[in-house]
Amino acid sequence: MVVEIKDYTKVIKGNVVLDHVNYRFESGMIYGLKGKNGSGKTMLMRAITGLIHPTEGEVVIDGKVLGKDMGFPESVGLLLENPAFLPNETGFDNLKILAGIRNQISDQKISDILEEIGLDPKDKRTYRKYSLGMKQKLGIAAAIMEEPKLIILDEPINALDEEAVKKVKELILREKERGAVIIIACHDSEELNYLSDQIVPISGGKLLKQENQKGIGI
Amino acid sequence: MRMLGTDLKRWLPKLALCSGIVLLIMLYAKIEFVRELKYLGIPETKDDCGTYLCYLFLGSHEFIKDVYPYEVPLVLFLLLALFAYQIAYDPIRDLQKRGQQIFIRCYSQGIWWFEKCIWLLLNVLIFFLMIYVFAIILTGNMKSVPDLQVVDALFGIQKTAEAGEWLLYLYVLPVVTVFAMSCLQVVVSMMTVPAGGFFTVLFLYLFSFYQLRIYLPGNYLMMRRTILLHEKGIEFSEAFPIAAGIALISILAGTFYIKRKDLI
Repeated sequence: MVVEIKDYTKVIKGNVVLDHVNYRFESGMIYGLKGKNGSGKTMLMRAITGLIHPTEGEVVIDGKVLGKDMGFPESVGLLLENPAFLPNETGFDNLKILAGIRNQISDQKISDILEEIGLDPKDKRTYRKYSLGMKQKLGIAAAIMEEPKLIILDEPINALDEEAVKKVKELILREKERGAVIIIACHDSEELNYLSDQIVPISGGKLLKQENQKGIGI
Repeated sequence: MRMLGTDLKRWLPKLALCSGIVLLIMLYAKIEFVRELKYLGIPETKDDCGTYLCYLFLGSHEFIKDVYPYEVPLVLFLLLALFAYQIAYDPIRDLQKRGQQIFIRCYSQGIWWFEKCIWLLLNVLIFFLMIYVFAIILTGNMKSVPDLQVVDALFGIQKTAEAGEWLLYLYVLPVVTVFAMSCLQVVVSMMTVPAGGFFTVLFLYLFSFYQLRIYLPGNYLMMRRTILLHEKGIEFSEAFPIAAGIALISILAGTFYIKRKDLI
């Protein structure tokens, strides 16, 4: 999969939140978006998933223009800011409801991904009673359970303890090995540098000159 | 269409509560209906499903100074408000935070909106089916066409009509009208806030009780405002295209809006 952002500009209520952004994301790579709060990281993620529409420019995924040839990327997993699920359903049921829309994975696969991320698929507690860390894990599970070709994770290790962070990192690297395009934003520079093959600095809605490039493994 | 199945599955538990409230409202109407029959000395054997529904959807007289005061037909208004309330939040919730997960799995905004429209239609059909079933249970008589002698004695028939015409006013027009109002409600809610659509349709219903006007669809839900029971009443041939038009315009407006909406 190749995701190309071509001269993308987004203006919201007179504010330029993305300013002539150009970039190319490719399969099997992890891209780390680095920037301060309000720099445009989340907006760029929304732009790539088709949740916002460009004022100018376009997002092209495997030759298809987002918003013209397709509404959303055909295979995408998403975790944006704080995850939100149905408060009165269990974690498993929430994932089952989401998975039911495309019906691509079995209940067993949902259970497996929950276990891998450190949640009990048989836990009868509703989402409302989940801790922040559990909510975050469920959000990550929702993003990767269908093995999407494009994975977008905004602050994936927020509210997670050390052990959970390790598991999440392993899962992200496994998804990379599978060949997914992975785009991450993270406030923890150390973790972002560790995970990312390419760091993409962003400030004021503009992409800055690339800082570094590296290959990594577990 | 899988999202539709998921939505309906999640909606079914609410149906139990909704049906309980509808039954209570209809039971109250039934007691009032029987009391009126007794008052006019009409035998209880004339208490059938069609006549009872005619009473249920009777509505009120339009406001005429010094003749008819402004009156809200309580039973009808409660049923309409209950339905508007139960659809008020569900589609809109997908546009909020959780919706990001839903949307990206729907392939396009247009597909999402199309499925929501089907969901609305099914909701309307289930709601009216519930009313019709309860009407049969409460009267114990499945006769779907009203007893014209009873209707005439109770409300005064203004136009001689075939049985089929009564069925159109009693069974088809309310379903089409409520579907149109529901589409309008959801579109207004999408463009404003969830409560925005709810209060807009309530206002339209309340304004319809005040005035008999062809452009106020609430009139189509009241038998007393139709040509059958009102000499200057609304005809099916006028009301149906307008209700269908409101539904169509709302669906198109929703499609146009959702394709351009930023989910932030």
